[in-house]
Amino acid sequence: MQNQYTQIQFIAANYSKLQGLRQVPVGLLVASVSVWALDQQGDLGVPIVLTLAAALLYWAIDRFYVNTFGRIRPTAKMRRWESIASVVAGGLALLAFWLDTAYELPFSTVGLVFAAELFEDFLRATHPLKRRSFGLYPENLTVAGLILFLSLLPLTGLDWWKALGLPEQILGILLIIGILLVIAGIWGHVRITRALPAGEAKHDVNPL
Amino acid sequence: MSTPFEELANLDKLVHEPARLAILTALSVSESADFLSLRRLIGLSDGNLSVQLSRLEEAGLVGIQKQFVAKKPKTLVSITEKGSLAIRRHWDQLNTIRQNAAAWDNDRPHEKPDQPSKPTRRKL
Repeated sequence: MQNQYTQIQFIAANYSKLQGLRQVPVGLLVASVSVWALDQQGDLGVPIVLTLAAALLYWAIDRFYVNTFGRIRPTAKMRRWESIASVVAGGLALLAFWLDTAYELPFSTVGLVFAAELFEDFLRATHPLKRRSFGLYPENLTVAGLILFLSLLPLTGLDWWKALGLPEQILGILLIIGILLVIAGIWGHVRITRALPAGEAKHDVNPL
Repeated sequence: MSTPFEELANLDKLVHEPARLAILTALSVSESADFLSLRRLIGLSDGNLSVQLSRLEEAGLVGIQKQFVAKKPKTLVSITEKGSLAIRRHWDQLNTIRQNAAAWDNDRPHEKPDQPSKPTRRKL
């Protein structure tokens, strides 16, 4: 299949997922909550306000994408898998969070779970295609790789979060996850904007 | 066995036209798409996209639903069962043609007209 058609198929199958700015509010929320958690006496109302602000920002970004790029509804099968994956991911994240806070482990379970979820997301996103490649979804795999690396780094005896002035590994990995989600989101947005220019494209490519 | 050229001639021209092939390829992996998303994705002008969609609708390959959302007209396009079959069959045909063309090309002796032919050494 020609690359152009593979790309069309990939983008159509993952239209909303590839609209990177959608993950920026999530990243900002994770990063800001981890900063808030530094202060042990922090006001409990702050995370609620941050969550509401993130929800509002997400809504504004959703409106922007619907008005600028339109909407493609995934197939029922894909929506079902997305729901199952979200529930499983949420459950695993909670379990990992409990493990990381209850025990002093020489790796980050939260980071490992997050990296695994990103990798699973890549496999699911590229499932309709005959050929998978890094170039189709580079932001996803790059973030997964970086988080995997940082999650396993303490095995070498290097407490990297202390270099950032953070007392706990869990706060360090959450802060990094949040920042990387924001960067990956902006990267994804730039890629989708370049892939789908507003102007008219030429269609003289022979599908063979 | 037919040659790749004969197989090419047998392709469904309605589906094989690049813009329509792109539209059907996009719709084959989604439940529905609105007009704006298809225009961005395929990169056609409004008029051209309308024409291509009308041709596909006439052939029964896509269904078009027009509705008003917040007093604005919205066109939703989805692929029909017939369209799904047609696009799947078409990509299968294209892949077969490509494979046959590669095999057919390998079977032909490759000669360079400007150079005298050299004796070829057999691989052991």
